[in-house]
Amino acid sequence: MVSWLKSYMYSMNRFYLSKNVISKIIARNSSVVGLESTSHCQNLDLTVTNCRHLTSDLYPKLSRQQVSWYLRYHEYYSGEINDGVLKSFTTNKLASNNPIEDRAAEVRLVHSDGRKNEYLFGVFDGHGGCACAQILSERLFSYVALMLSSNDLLRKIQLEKIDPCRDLIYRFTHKDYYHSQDMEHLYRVALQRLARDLLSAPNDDSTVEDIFKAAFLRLDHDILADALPKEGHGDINIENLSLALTGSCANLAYITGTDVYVANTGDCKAVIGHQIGQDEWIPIMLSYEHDAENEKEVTRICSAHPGESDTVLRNGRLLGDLAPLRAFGDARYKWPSAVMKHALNIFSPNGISIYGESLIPHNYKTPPYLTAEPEVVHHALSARDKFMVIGSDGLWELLKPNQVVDLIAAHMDDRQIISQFVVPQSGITLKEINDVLKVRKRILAKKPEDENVATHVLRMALGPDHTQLSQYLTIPPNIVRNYRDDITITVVYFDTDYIAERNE
Amino acid sequence: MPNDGVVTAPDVVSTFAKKIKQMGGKIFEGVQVNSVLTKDDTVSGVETNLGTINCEYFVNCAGQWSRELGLKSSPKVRVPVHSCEHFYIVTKPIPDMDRNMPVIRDPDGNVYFREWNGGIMAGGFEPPHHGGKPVFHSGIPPKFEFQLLPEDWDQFQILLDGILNRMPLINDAQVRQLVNGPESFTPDQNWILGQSAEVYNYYVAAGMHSRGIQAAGGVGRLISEMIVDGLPQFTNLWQCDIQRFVPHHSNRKFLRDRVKETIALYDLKYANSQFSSGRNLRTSPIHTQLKVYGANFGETNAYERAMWFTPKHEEDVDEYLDESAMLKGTFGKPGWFNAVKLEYQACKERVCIVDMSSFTKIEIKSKGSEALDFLQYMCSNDINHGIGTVIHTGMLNSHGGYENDCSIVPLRDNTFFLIAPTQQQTRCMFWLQKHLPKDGSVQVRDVTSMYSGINLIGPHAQQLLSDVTETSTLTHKFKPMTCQVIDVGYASNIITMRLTHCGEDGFVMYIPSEYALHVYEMLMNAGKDYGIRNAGYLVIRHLRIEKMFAYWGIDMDPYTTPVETGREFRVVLEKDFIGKEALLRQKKDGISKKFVQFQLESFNLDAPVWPSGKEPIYRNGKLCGMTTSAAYGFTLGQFVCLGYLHHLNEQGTPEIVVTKKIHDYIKDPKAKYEIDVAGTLYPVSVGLYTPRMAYKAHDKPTFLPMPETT
Repeated sequence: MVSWLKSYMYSMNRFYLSKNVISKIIARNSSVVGLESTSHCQNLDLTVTNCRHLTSDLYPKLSRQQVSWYLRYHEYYSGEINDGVLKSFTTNKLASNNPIEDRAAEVRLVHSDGRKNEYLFGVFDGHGGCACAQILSERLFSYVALMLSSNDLLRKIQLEKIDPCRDLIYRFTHKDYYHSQDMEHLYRVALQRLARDLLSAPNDDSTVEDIFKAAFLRLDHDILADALPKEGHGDINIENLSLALTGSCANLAYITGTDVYVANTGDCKAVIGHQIGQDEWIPIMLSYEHDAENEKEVTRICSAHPGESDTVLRNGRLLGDLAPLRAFGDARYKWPSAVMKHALNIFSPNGISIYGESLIPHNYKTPPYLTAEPEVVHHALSARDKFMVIGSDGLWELLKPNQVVDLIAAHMDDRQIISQFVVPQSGITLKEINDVLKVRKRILAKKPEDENVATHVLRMALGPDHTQLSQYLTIPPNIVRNYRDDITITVVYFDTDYIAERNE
Repeated sequence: MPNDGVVTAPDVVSTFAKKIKQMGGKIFEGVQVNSVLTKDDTVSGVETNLGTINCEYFVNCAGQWSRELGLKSSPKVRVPVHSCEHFYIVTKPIPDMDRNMPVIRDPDGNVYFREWNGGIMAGGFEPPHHGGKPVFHSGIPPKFEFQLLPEDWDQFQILLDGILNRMPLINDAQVRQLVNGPESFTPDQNWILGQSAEVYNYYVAAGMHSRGIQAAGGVGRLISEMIVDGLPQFTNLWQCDIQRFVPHHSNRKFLRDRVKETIALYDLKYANSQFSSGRNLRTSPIHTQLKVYGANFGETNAYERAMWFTPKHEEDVDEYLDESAMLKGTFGKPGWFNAVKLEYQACKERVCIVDMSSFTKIEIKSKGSEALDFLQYMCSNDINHGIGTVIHTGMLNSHGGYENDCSIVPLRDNTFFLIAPTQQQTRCMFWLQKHLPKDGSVQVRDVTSMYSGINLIGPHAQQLLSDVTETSTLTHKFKPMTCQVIDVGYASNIITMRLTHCGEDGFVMYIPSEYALHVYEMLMNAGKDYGIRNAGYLVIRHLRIEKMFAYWGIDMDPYTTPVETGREFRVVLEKDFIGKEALLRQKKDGISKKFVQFQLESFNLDAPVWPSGKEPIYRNGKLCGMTTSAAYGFTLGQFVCLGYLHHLNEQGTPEIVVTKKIHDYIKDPKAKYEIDVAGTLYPVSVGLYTPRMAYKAHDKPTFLPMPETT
């Protein structure tokens, strides 16, 4: 059996299936022959080991330049922004899936009614395809921006004096940025509808937390609704349908004044780098992963589905299938089974999702099982908070938050030294100059290879040894997903002086 | 400080400019050279942005622009310089600063100091372990001539350490400015002077290596004398001659790496020291094999030559085993001394194998007798000998001085094979091509890279070679100073000469490069039973100095003649050749200096400083010459120096006298000679000829009887 399973899995691997699906296949087939779930993992490892025999681990396959080129390919640096609390930010990502299912996007709110210096940083970790994460990176910011807007502004949107797609946010565009222009019209209509709904039921008491929850849920609702036949129209748009069947986690940080709000759905994570001493740093968590290791989440799900505790979470996965316990999209955990059966009847099952005929999960009894509602954490910045990191779970699988914070802190020290030493105007003596230079020399000697801190963390997460890096980057596409997930990392630097001034 | 002084660059320049104008010269500033025009590889004019100037001579003294300017002619002239950032600081005024403070140099700290507007100006040269900071790798930006580069305090820090250490007073001084004015540096720290090998009448005075201001006057005089007189009045400046370079020296990547190291002008240079950057470019086909056997390499003309071999661990004495001590720089007994001693003994008693691949090899041929006629005119010795004769000969300039010292073999009818020292590769080709018949009847070709050279030295060489070849090596069948083209092992067409360049019996084989490894391995295998040993270039130096063999570039140069070096036996006056008149004049009128050998009778090998050449020679307390090379003579059991003794008249000035008189002067039993080695005077004995002892085997014979040869 084992060899049959292995060859089957190997052939399946070639189709770039995600780990979730592979384990599902194993779980299904093994249940036929009665294997215990622990042995599935062994089988998986075995497969991996066999595949690795195809390559030699002894020699690097890429040169140093190639490794650096690869690691730096997606890196982005905002330049010095120095707007309010925000100094600058940098982001990078590394694909494991093909195409990559992670998205990172950052915007400045431009129409927030006199309020200034407001920024949103988003990391979106898609699964089952990249479509949902892509949609979030395109649409979520506008939803949040719109819901943060005053009634006055909402009226202008309703009157079409302001384009809610384009005028509410300024987007920092990365070199590989794209958005679907065909759909912009639909998005605009949805936002105008949202503005109208908000105006018809004004609620001036809503907190930032309320706003984020509402924005997340509204967008998720719109995504799912677009995939279903409209009243009066019988047609289902197949593209919208397959989009709604992919899913994505989302982690959105909102910076306003010296406050940071992080709205999190799923297993991305945001962490503050907090300095407690000269070389001592601690991470402050701004979000909690919604996965099976989160007791609160497990309790929440089990109590929402009484009597299903055996089936609702299996192998640490929702219905034995999905690792994050909250997500956008993923209609197959949200829709009633009748809707899905209908879809399967109309369309070729393999045409709408990677799940094919098995679109409806096993033990699918009391949907919805999944929500896009975020958990919102508020943090008032102190002068000791120097930066914030947002990473997809691919990063946190490789590095612990304190390691990431230490890496970035060290990189900050080293980067400070890079700029040329200039003799200050005051009466400094040659000896004093030399003492400063000697310290610089020591630090320069261990200067990091990457100027971009996101790239630096990425390199450290996978290496830093060259042979190891080269191995990591050259794992064959059909098995790479077993070694690393897509990795996204965004680092936001805060202006300590600004915080100190504001907090006085 | 007597003789101490300071100048500024603008003062020097304006003084020169004034003098030039006084003498009718014209100066045009801000003119751009578009190209240097040539005709028949000779300068014919300069094309500028303001028009063309017709001229016979051109001097490229464009400083750090000289490399780029060199490329603006056809053929291109290679000037191997590369710019580095170069720094000094000026402090704000310091109270009680003495305006007459002497210039201070501290080589230990790699720094210098002078007074400047009531403060201190201090700069230096980064030591090799730190390295300079090359700049303008892809060209100098336009309009940079009066500009500076931005400060780089991090690069300067290493020098600031030295400055503050040597002059604690300025720890508390404040800085006025850190000046970063780039300079051009050369691959060997020496200047680049003289006529280019590529274009006739194209002179170069560049690569001043940060010593241009103080040297400008002398360099200007030198170049003018070269142009006007052909040979300047100075003594040998071969170390600064542009023709010491081969094309590889102008490789930009090489230059960038090398100048990082050579900028360290104040770094202590031990005897036989080598640069460590930009190495391993030219290697012989057996290089890797030699390395396995423990070779330690030295670079000449970018060619890696095995200098000596680290002895095997089982070879008795403990002191051999300390490899780090062997490589350590010293002015005294070198770490390799005992290793070379083992090689020397093997040369005297058994057989050694030495890689000679770096030697310059040139083929000269013609259809008719033109090549012979040409060589007869170029060489002082008679070249008209039978095929297979090895002819040692000088090539002289019109003053009778050595332009080259080489071996020539008539290989076939009208085809000659020429062997010259490694350093001569560019210069020798230039000298030959300059005099080639204009009708193209003689072809000269540099075949250095086509052949590898292996030298078998020692009493067993004859028997060993006979084991691997079908050709008889018996002395009467393969006479000394003859050449045969033979097979060795499975390889053919090996040009083999019975000579060793060091006075011992043996053979030099010039092997088509692809056979070199085969021949080497064949000889090493066959040589096992003869106790064959790898030896390096140093052993040849020791053997030849002991035998008073003069080497070109060290003991002989364009300012010394065969009469002065005692090599009249290699001059045939019954024919016409360059320099003949000068030699005839010397034979008639005499000479004022003579090449001699000194033996240091009381030199203790544990002395802190060993002679290494350029030591002053005293005759009855009066300075009368300098040594040229030095080595320990293992057979003579004494330290040996070579050098020139000048005949001084009673006023103490050199005087020309007939040869017999100068011999009497030198051998005057009342004359007392001493050599000054770093302040210590050692009494020496003087010899005019090779001591017969030097040809003997070692004085403690462990010598095995030669096997019978049939």
